[in-house]
Amino acid sequence: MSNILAISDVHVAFGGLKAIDGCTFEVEKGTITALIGPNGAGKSTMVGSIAGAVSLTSGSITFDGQEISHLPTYRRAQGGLIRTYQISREFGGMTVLENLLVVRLGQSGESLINAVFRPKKSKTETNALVGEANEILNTFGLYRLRNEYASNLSGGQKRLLELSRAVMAKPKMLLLDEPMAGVTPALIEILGQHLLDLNKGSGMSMLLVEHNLEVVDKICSRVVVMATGKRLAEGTLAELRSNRDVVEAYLGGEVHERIGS
Amino acid sequence: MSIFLGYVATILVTLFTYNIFTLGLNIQFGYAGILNFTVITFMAMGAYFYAVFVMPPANASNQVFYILGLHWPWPLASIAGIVASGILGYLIGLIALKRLRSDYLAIVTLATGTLLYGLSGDQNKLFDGWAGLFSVNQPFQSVANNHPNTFSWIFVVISGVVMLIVWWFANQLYSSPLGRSMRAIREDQDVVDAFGKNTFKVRMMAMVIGSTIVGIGGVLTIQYIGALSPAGWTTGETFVVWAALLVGGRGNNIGAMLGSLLVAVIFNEGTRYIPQVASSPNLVPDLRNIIIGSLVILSIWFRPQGVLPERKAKFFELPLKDKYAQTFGGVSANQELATEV
Amino acid sequence: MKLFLLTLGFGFVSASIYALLSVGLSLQFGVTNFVNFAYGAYLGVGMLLTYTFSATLGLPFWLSIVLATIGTGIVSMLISEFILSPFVKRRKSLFYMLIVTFGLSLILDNVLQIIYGVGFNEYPIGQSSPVTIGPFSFTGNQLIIIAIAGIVMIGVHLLLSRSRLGKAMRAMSDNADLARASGIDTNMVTRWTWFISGALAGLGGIVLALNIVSFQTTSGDALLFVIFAAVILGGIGQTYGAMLGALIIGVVTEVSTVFISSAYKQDIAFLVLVIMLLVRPQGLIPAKGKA
Repeated sequence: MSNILAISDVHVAFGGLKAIDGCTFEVEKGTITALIGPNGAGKSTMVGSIAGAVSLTSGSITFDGQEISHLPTYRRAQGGLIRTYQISREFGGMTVLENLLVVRLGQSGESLINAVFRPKKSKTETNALVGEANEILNTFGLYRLRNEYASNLSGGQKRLLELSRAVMAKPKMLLLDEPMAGVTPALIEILGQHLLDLNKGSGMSMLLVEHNLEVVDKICSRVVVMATGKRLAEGTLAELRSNRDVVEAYLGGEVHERIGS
Repeated sequence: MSIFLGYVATILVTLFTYNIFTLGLNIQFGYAGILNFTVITFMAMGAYFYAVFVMPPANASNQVFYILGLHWPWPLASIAGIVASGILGYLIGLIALKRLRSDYLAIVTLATGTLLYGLSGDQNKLFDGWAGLFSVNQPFQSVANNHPNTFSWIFVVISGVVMLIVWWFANQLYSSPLGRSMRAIREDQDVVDAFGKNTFKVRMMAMVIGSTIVGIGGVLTIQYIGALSPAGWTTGETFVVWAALLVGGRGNNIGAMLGSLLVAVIFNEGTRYIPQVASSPNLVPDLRNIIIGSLVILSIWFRPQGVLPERKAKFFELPLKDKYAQTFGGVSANQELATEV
Repeated sequence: MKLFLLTLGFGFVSASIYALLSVGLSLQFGVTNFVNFAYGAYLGVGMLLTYTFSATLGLPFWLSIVLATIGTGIVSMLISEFILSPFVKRRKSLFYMLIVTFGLSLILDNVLQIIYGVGFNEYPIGQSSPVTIGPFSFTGNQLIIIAIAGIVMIGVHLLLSRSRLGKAMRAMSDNADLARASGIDTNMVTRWTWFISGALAGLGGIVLALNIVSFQTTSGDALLFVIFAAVILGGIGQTYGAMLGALIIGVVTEVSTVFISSAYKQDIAFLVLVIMLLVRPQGLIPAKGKA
């Protein structure tokens, strides 16, 4: 199996603070890999630096065989690397359906000339996209809310929207930054199932930052543990449970019990 | 009677040109969330550059100075004026649209406006300083000279047609995928970036298109009046356009036009004939500015979406069977479980 | 060389004025995280209140300065309390906050113009003869300006490093949510920040008037983007950066008059702003998460 994403000796520093301090790991193509670790381990910074929101101090990131660490964010996304955010960031003043329509790349109506003088061609294209978007919304249970402004959605619905929007972008790989944060247990179940379906259905690779180890256990085949900006360990969750370093890193408390159980 | 007809024509031309300004700002702010705090400078650029392209070389013996003086025919000079304001928009965009907070763009527009205002006033070699340009060649000059009312009504038609074209253009843009990208950037630029769109390019387009449109309004203004001096494009004028857009409804082109009717024509013209207070001749214009400023603030407080809010996008859809409509589980996932935690 | 040193001296005077103003703007930006476009009008408030106290009411000039400085602080605090804070509490987006302060600038300017008219005013103080210090030559007023700025900068430094208020302001600048969570009364800090920002704007307006001698209500407005340039140069929201930015902008704009007409002084400031935005938009001393 080949890697879709390779993180190699990545360093990120903000001022004097080393948020990521020489981290190396890989994500296999077609898998869901979890990225876990205690708070302040640098997980979100890692997602940011893979997606391009945070620039590296040194190191390299290879996505789909291409070195991407010097590409601007939008170029990385054009290559098929799409992220979601820890806090939902929907386009509030646009309808749910529009939220999906806007993210598809390569629409002919994105050029000014086509937009203004060839509206027919662009309209035909949009109609097809509307059908596609509605299918996705239907899968995620948002179909009936498609003409609602995204800002009017509930917290859980916004989570679903965030994910369906990412799916609409047809990514090769999804970077999910705590998609289950602040979500009810029932919805966690649903979201988890969606992620598994996407992975099985289209072979979409995922890197999932998650605190909830039950979720990790259920949907992730591999787990990377980060602590103090470094990769601490890697393996299946079962393997990691017997790894003293990992248990130590969580330093007692609730998580200690959970991972040790 | 003829005075009245002339007055009505002037009101209509004012309405149409302000419609154009507001539509231009709507593309920048209402679509793409770009804060242009010096709208009126683009109007002035359009007007001044039209003037110096259309007028004959400056005659130093009259103590009148300006650059160029190419004496081009008015249609070509119009294009020159419009292009000039587009270029100014492009330059400002180059400085401030790259990866910066919206504060910076607002600062750069305001700074550019202040700078150009001072420059065009103090440097009388550019556009004749504070005196400004006058006797600017108008389209259909002989009609303008001999039958001012006929000229006014010809101009009502011209500016009306131009306005309709701009309005049509703005609508086409709004409902296109490009317009959708602009609005998404207005909502959250980082996310649009993270979905693979070159947001710099899209914002630049909105900036340049908006500036160009305001420039068109500027060319029409000077063609109708035949003169422009810095007193005609103070910061207060920028607020009129902003107030019009916010009152009318940002993101809604009809709203933008309604706003310019309410603010630029009914309010501004309506207060023009309040008699001056002899002891303080500036009282009325000062009060008018205070009201315009308050209008901007109050409309954001009470009705930020404006009189005519942005319209919800509707699409042609094929029927789709709602997978969750029947099952109880799906409904609860939608409505009950997914509530805010 | 002599001319260069002379203009360098004027540069220090300008830098002093800009330092007061940019520190005031920068402190407020750091705490509230939006730019106040009405700041230029606050200069006018301080400038003209001093005129009222000294010329109209006949109070001693130094007392007038103190009263006007405090007065502008109070005006700024009231505006924050009754106009800006309600908008912030409604969680209006950054766009709208900027438009609101922009609208405020128009209102304040015109209120001042109604009260004071459009003509030029002068303070009822005599002009002292120039004092020569080494290669530099200053008027008495200019020495006072430099002294005021020096004292205020030390005061601001002490405020930020020693006092509880100052530490709370820095905490809010770094992370407002975290500051709130750790028990800082953010409303109170915001209120005081606006007071200090307004007072510095007022004082800056007064020393500006001292320097240009005759002034009108809008004299402060043209300076607004020079202040922006200094603040952005230093790193927006960074107080010490603002001081540094003010020093650079002040010296560069004045020394430029050796080479080109002094009419272009502000254009030089604009040029610095543009170059900075193109080359290093985060400023000389970048603030985390603020560019």
